[in-house]
Amino acid sequence: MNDFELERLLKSARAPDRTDDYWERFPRHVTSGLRRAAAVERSDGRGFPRLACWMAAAAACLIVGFAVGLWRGRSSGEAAARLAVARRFYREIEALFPNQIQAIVFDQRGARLILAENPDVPDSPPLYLRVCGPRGCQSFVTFSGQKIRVNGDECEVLADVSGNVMLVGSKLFWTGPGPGLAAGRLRIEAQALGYAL
Amino acid sequence: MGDSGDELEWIRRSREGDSEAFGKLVASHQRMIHALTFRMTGSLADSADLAQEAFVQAYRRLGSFRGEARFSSWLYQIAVNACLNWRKSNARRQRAFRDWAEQERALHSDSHCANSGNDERTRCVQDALIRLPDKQRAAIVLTVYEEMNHAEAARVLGCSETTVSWRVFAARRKLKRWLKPALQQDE
Repeated sequence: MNDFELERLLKSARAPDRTDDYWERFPRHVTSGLRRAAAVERSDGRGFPRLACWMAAAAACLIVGFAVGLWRGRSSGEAAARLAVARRFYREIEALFPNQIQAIVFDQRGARLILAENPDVPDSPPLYLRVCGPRGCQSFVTFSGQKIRVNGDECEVLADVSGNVMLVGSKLFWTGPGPGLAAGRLRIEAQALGYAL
Repeated sequence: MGDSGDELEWIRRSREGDSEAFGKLVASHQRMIHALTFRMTGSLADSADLAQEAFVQAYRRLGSFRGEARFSSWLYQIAVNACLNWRKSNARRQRAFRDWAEQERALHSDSHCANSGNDERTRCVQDALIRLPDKQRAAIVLTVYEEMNHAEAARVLGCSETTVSWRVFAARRKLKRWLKPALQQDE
């Protein structure tokens, strides 16, 4: 056996081809991703606070902080319970469908499961999102890169390495970190579901 | 150097933020980048993600493309690095996969590749490629599948020609051993 024979064998193994539709869509997929990223960067730039704003905000936060602290003390028990339920669901469903969960949705109707057709959902830390609006609250266990429906709008969930979460939809743009930031009439909280499952 | 007039025009327009022009660059290189990322990962889904990541990185770094090398070589460099970084970040999963693959291989032994049709043989070759250390795999993918000479591959991989030659030599030795049954079947 020589190098030529080996090379012939290696070349006989062709990389799988994809559909014409895939090749047609892929460049658009890349360019729309670039446009979306540019929009996020522009939005970050606009949101960069000036020193004066920071000082005013800091003073306001001192006052509001006491009130929020009191309120959160009461509601943190409920939040911890919701998170525990989400973790339990995730742990059980992930064991049944490894790398197939796109999202688990909790709302007034109970828990719903959104699964990928194949077990090819990339490994990434699970995220917990809670969205409350005029029509009630919904919670999600999902992953960066997945899409969820928030208030009728399909949004992409994005998380950076520090665990900051963003929701990007056609009508909604929200970025964390931490709970309590409002996007229009919605109240959105996001955090890592946690590894201590 | 070697890039067509159309391609140079698309690069110029992409630098100015014309995403449609960049879409044309993507369309003209997408198949080769997908083939590269597939051979580096062995997974259709991961290869699609990495191809996209490579193009996004390329767009962001277009300013650093000086035209000294061919655009395709520059793009290869970005895609190979994306694959190597991906392999690092997925090291734990890969180790688990490798352990599993070793067990499977022990069960099926060499007969798996010997008594196989074209599809099975393709899988055998891809399995063997995945078993190679990352940098050796990259050297084989570039020199065998992309038909680069060692100097070109060295530029893409950011190492010396001697290093590429050594990696190719070491990889070939392993591949010959692992693929011996499939080679014998061919004879």
